[in-house]
Amino acid sequence: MAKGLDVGTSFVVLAKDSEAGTVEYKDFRDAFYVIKPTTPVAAKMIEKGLAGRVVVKDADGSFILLGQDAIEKAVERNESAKRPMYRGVVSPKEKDAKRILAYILKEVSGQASEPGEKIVFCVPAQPVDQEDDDFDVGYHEDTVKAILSEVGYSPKAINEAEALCYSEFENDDYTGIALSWGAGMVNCCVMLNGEPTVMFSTVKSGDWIDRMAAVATAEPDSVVQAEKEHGEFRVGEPNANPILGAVSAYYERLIDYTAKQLAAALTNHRALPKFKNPLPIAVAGGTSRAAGFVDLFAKKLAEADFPLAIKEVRHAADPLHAVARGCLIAAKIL
Amino acid sequence: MSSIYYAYLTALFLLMIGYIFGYIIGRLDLIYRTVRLFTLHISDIVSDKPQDFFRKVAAEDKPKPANKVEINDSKFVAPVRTDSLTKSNETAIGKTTMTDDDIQASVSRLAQLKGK
Repeated sequence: MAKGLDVGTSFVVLAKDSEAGTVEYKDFRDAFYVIKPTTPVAAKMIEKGLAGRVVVKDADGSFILLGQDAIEKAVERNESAKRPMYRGVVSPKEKDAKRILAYILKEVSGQASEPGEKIVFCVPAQPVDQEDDDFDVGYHEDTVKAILSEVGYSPKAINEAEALCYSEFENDDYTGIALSWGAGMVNCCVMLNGEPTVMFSTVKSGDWIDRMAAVATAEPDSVVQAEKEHGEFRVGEPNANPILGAVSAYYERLIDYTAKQLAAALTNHRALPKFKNPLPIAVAGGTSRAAGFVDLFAKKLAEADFPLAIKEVRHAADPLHAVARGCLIAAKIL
Repeated sequence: MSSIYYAYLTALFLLMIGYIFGYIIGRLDLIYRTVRLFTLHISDIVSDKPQDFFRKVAAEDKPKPANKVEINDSKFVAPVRTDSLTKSNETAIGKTTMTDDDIQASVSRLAQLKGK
């Protein structure tokens, strides 16, 4: 047995073989919200009110809501849920980040079915648009490895976009460009015949849209995120709902920025192979699910003088699970 | 009388010749540098002091040549304890999705490409 694990800023997704021999996914929202009762009576009332939700009790008596329940509770209270991850790596800003991430990862992946079971998880690439001491992929990788080793796995890390290439380019001889549009960052991998040649990331993605739209509309990030995920809008088009209107506008700016960053990063890149044929580009990730996203991205790439010939820009068949699927494929080979 | 006079003159002449030779030998370095001024780059004549005396000390001050021994200065990962977190109820974590996706063909194709 082997497993694939997408450790994302917004979602943790586990991919494994089902009993029927097909792929089974388990996904969990990477978020938490802490409620600290002030009196024993309040603690009992809160505990009762949280029945049926995913909640853990901490040693100091506080309740920690996890996953989608954390976001919903935060929205109820007009606040924002916290994240154990920030821009693709374990958050250096949250004191409880490692503990919460460890709890979520252990719960989602479960105990290894046999000692030393292989599990491949994804890590982000170094960003091209930010130099930040807090961004330490090595530390993040070691932390996740330590957590997964504790529950009996033999963990191995691969790049997030590399995993997406493994998932999406079977019919293209594993040659193409994959872009994983997560919450915290956009990861890019250029692959030639199954070998990653260029990998990098940019640090603006879905969370940046939420933040900017929240500032523009004076709403908490969680409210904007909820509207973005459940409301109807088309990227780059006006919307009667002011939050969705802002989200739509910032989406267009993000796509434009990322297309320009990609073109700049790949132009005259030393490690870039000389491709004989035009390349397919596959996009996935929660941020890419907005209506009109793929069409606008293809248009912006053309406008940005992208240095490689493009065959097509296509959406992954299952954008939320594609990276975990790629990790599972890698786990069966590496 | 004349022989003493000639001996005196010869001694004086030899003294003058010796003085002139001594002067020229003493100034050879200056003459040499003056000639080189027209043929060398300025960086070659910044310091004319003999360096041998200082060389040993300077060599000790220099960092030692780089070798392949490096210290592991990556951040230490302390054990992450989750014992203090206890489930408040039995609600399952995570949403499970079953698919009819079979990845065996993808695995075989990739394994073939990677030579495994």
